Amino acid sequence: MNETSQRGSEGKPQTRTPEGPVGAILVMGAGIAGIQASLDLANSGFRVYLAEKSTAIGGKMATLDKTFPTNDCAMCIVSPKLVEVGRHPNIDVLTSAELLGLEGTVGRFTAKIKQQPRYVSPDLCTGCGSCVEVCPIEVPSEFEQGLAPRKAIYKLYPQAIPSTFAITKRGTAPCRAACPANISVQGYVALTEAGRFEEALALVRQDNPFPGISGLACPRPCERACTRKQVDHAVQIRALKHVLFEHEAKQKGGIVFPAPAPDKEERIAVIGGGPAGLTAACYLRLQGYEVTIFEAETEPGGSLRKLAEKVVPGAVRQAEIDAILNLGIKIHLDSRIQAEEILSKFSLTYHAVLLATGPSRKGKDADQEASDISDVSSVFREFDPVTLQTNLGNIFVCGELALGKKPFINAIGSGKEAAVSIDRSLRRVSLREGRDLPTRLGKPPAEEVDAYREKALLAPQEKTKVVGEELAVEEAGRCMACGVCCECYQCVEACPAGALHHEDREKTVDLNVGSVILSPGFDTVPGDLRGEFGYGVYPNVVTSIEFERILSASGPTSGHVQRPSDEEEPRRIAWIQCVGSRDTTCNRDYCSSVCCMYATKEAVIAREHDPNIEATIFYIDLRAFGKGFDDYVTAAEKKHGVRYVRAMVSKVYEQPENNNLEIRYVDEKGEICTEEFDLVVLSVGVQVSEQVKEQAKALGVEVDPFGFTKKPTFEPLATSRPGVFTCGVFNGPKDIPETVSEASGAAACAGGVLSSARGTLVEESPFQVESSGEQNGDPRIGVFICHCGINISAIVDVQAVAEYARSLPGVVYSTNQLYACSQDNQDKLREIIQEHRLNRVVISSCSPRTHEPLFQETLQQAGLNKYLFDMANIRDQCSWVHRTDNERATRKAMRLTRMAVANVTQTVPLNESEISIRSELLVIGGGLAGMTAAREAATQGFPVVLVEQEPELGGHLRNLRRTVDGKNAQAFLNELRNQVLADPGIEVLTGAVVVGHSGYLGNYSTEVMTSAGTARTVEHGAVVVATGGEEARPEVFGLGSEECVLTQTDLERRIEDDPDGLKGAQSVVMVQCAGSRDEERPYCSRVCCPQAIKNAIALKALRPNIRVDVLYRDIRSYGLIELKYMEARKLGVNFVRYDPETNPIDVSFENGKAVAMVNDTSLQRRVRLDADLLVLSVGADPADTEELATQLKTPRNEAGFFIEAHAKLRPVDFASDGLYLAGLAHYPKSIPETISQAKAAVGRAATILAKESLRLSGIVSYVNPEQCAVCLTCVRACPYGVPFINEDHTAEINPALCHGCGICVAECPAQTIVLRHYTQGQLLAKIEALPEEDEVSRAGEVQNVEAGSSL
Amino acid sequence: MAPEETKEKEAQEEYTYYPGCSLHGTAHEYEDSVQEVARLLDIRLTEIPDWNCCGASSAHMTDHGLAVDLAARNLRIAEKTGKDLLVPCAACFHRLKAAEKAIDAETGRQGGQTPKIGVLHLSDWLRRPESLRKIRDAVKTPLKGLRLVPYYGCLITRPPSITDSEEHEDPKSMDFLIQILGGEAKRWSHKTECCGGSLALGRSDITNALVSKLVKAAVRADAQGILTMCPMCQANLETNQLELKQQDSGHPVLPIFFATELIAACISESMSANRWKAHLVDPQGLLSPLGL
Repeated sequence: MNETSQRGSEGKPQTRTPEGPVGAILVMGAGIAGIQASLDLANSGFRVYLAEKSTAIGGKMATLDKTFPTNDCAMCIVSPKLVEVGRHPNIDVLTSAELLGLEGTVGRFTAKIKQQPRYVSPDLCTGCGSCVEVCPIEVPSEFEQGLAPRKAIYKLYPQAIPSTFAITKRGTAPCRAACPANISVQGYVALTEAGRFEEALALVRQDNPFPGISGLACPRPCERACTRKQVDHAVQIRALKHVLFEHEAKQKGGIVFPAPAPDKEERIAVIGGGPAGLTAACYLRLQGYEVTIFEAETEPGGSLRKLAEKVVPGAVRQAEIDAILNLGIKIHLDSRIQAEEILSKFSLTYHAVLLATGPSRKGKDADQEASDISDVSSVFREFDPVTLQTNLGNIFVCGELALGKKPFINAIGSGKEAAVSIDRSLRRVSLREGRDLPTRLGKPPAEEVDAYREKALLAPQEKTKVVGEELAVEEAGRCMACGVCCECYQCVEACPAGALHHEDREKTVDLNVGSVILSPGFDTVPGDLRGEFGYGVYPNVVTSIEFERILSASGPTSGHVQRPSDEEEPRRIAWIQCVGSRDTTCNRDYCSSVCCMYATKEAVIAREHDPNIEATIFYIDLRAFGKGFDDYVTAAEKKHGVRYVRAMVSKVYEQPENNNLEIRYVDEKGEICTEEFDLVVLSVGVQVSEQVKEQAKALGVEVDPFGFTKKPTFEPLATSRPGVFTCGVFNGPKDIPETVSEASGAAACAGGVLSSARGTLVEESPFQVESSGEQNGDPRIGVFICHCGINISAIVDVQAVAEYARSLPGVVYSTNQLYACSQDNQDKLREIIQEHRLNRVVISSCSPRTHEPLFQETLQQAGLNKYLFDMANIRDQCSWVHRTDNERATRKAMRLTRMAVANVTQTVPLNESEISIRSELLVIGGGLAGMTAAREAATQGFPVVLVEQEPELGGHLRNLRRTVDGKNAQAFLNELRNQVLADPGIEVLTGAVVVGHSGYLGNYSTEVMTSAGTARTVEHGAVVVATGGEEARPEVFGLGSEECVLTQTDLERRIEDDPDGLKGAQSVVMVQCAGSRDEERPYCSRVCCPQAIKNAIALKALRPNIRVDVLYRDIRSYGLIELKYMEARKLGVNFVRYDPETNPIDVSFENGKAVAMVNDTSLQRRVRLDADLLVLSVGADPADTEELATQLKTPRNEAGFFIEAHAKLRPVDFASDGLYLAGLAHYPKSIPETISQAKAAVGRAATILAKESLRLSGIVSYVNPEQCAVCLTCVRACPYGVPFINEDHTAEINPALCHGCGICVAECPAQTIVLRHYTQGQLLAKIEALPEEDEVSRAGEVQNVEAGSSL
Repeated sequence: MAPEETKEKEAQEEYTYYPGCSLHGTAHEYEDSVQEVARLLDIRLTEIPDWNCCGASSAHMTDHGLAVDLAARNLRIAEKTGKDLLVPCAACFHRLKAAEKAIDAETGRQGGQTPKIGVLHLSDWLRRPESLRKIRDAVKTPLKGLRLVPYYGCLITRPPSITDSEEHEDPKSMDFLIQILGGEAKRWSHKTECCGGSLALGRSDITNALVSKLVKAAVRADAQGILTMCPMCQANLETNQLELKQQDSGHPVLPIFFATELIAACISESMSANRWKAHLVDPQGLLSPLGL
């Protein structure tokens, strides 16, 4: 689906009116939260600046292997979104960015952003990776959690967006900064360490033409500045240079300069043949200029000749001077030039004159030794100390004349600078540009220096004189790589595109935005936070995020599960939960919310990798509180054999013989147990980084002691600063679906405050004109075989498949690519289509489900109709399922490709019809979710019809009194209800039910039966389903029959409405999971633990001496609710664990009171609890939506909750576009969560409602009227009720309504219905291509293949 | 050409010194070796005048106020010197630090304020790179690959809220020491396990079991000896081993060294015949081949 027009936009960016808000939003942090928020905003008419601190978007999700509870590959589901961001015309991605400050107020902010350069031009970089190969600097890869190295020039990960490489620079190394000649010292040291002596010497010569002399006599300012001195002693840099020079002499027999550039016309005179003059002459000559030196002495060399023979042998000096002169420099010896001569003659006959004569005689005794030097200093009045240009323009100075008495290395430096100035002045470009910028010194952080120090202390190295190449390599290895990038410029030479810009500098930009979303994400808690587990000491203790990389096919072990100490496959793996979570000893009092589930997932996936793995998870409470989570855990335990042990591990011991790990814990019987494992994974929690905390402070955004945002309870996505919104873990620990949901909600909030500026700053993507002429001609097919990293290429010989494809009929081009989906390959695809005039494209890669739209869009950009395309799934359906047989998998991949090629030969271009979109929103359900959605949509300017079946608004919220954090829910409800009723943009229909629904995306028509009994038709563009639910009332533990038994909600009402009535209660027993997590209600209702804790605290507040016992299975006080759990325990609330199978609760009733008997595991004995009130946490049921679901054709799960389009990344969407869901209809959730999700539904709906029109898919059914027998089969078969009998008495299918499922095609007895793009011709061609073409000839070879094999 | 940087002559190190009763009694070899190391490395130790019991053995179990006051009196005397206080005994160190924290909490005093001096356990001193460098440069007779496990016990680093240790679960000072003395520091997981010293009299069965576990773990780690910096640990490990050996002749027995004993032996010019006299498990079979 393509947007063609944006509501409110005139097609062109507009300048905003001075008073109105700015139609742009800044999103800080480009993890999945920032990505989703940006896409929603950009798709609903706003310009988005997406700023990210690292060099690529994707955040933590990109580092994960799989995601729970669907086991989807994280990269596979996130990468289409990455690409969508990368190519979105209204999202500007700013990488390596930091928000310095935010001025202004909502509607009109100015954000100051500091951006570090990438040093690689995104316009020129092709992503070929040649630079990476030549880079000598390795650092630990942050993406691989330090488990693998990367180079200083790098791409964060293969699918990274932006796909441009970037260089890590900490600044100029102190050695280079100290060098008067500005030699790239760290660079040649690094190249020396790599044994690349020739490149190293060439690098020296770029800045100093005298490495031989310097290698012996330089005063070594570099070594004085060397950071290594802080550890032991400086790197012997000068000696290295000497070794390089010797190496050249030995290998090449002399000095090798690069050849000068082609001769230029300009002539330059250099007065003085000392180090400065020779240096300048050398570099000018290398540029191709004609250079003439005038030397007063009979020999060139100047001060170099004064160096003692025993320091610099004359032969070395002579060789270096000769080598320079041999570049083609003319020299006049014994030729003293007078000042008048320079002015009268030289400045006219030469294009530039350089004065390099040595010290001035001015003010000095004429009898001095220097008396033979012409006093040329009288020629000029002054000079610029940076450019060395004199007041005379084409006369320059260098050497001692400019510097005074300085060592020869300074003279060399100034000679080089003078040469640069002369060249620039002759090329008529700015002399100054980029030359007087302050130097940012690069130094390793203190911890790194300390680590070096420790090493040096324990293994001290004698300072041995560097002689010979071997010692030189060793000595160079002592360099601490202060700048990270060593500036050896090997990448510059290796880059075929000329994309490198080492001279780029950081920049600060001011962005005008109307609102801001903070989505900075999280860090995982450092593994060594709990020292007793030995992380960082025992090699086989890893963090969960490291284990994700170990599991990942693109990770450091290529998905092979192995342990770090010996690369053996571990058999017994233990997960330790709550490392840096629920731990007051390290200021992580909160629950990290995600660890129980990700550990379960890791255990399951590890066992899928290797069924011999025995997985054990040590946990306190298993917090499977999300939708489908309990099922997932049950499957892990029952189906995958994951063992769960309820115990907090006290310590991990390492076995010295084999690095195995012994875990000590106290089991549920109170026994001390020890168990041995091969690998231990620490389930590390999430935390807000110190940087983010500081940034929040700078922005005036309040955070709690842990760094999570403080916000009003009823505005869960707001911050303390108006106009600044937040989503994701910064807003409290949470998993991906909740993060995505919050992101859409934050987008709604951030867009909502700017709705009047919608469409003012957006650009439309240029519509590509299809070059239809070629499209119908003979097939010219291009085939692209994707490696998918190693997902495919490790099994399938992709090269062979690509070669094979070339032999297929119609194929004119075929190639294989590492990732066909990466942005650079998408660009290439476009070029190849145009260059080879392709009119059909086949991509053999992953699933069309995730990637087809991406490739099709690229086709359109190349001017090709998007239906002239097919994908062969050689990953999910080939490499993934045939891991053990590479050869046959390769043949299958060929076959699948062959079928796709056969298919595309039959394809034809299809037209997509355009439909207009209505801007009204229908909200079904008038509870908290529905009212919030209605308000949000009305604020955004979309007319709303709110339908509620009850006579009044409010839903289940009417039964609640307080939020978990104690806020008054009824006051809020009343306020919200009044706002909804007063809002002119909202039409409220109470006592009304939906009785009919028809139409299609953007043009729905819904029949509502109102309370008056009249039917009403609502026309609207999208729907939010917010039908809610209620507290269950299962007949368990005497509920409904005994007066002393009530539900948590009953209790909540009594605490608030009738506190005196509770005065008589001495003891209260609460039973969690009553009628929940059982056969009837197999899911966790999520809200009951927090509600029980809330009520227990309220009871204690009412009567401090009241006894409250909470009988629980797992306390699921996820996220910051954990703090409330702690508060309850501190108030004296008892929590006693039971288990319906092994330790059930026995409830009886005596004299109107309840008696609960249960084994208290902490006491190891049976206890009797007498209760005045028995309060049941009964769980939540969804409203009865069976009829509504049928009308909307929206799926529900067994429990009656609606099923979202994708559990991970589309949590508020229905599979059909234009339908969204929120609140209890989706799954039980808290009040703030419901508000977030309702806003999210509006954020998503806005991406449709904000548009004026849309284009529809071309894949629709079409009835050929001539053969139609009007048998009505299609009318009955269609699940969407689309076909109808038209006026001409034939069946007709409205393309705008058709879902393209093809059922009518299969059913039609006359075979007169065609599903476009899946025509009979296409399918037959595919089938014909199915059999192995050489099956007969290969019969002998493959005779052992059983019949019916999947290959 | 450039002159090499000249090393500044370091000023003499000076500390106030609190020996405590152990070092004047059962662990006099610890005291002797501490004094010898100080002498050889030119460190001036001035014993606190008129010091009293730190309160470790019984006061802190019976009376919180008394436990703090006993140690606090020593601190107040030491503070008058203005020099940091060096404490070799782990238990004394622990009490003195606890008193320091109690005073800080009571008075709102913070680090860096006067009058306030640092309270250092010997391992804190050893952890400083300059101390290790000093020792390294003074080694005359190295340990030549002697395999040792460093054993810190409970009180030197834990709890960090008292000791201010930054590596309370995995202290490293003795690990480094062993290496710079030329020995091999074996990795083991028992650096900070409890030896049961406080139960030695009342529940020797528990102490025996804990010591046995430690010695066996050291042997599994392929160590030839155990290095300590706590007089209770040293005495407890040594004596209980012999008892264990009596009960089971196959039970391993390892020499238990004070860290300072080995420093002194390695950096001393001459070999002292009496150096190992106080050891119940004679280490000379291990050391004499190394010339120690």
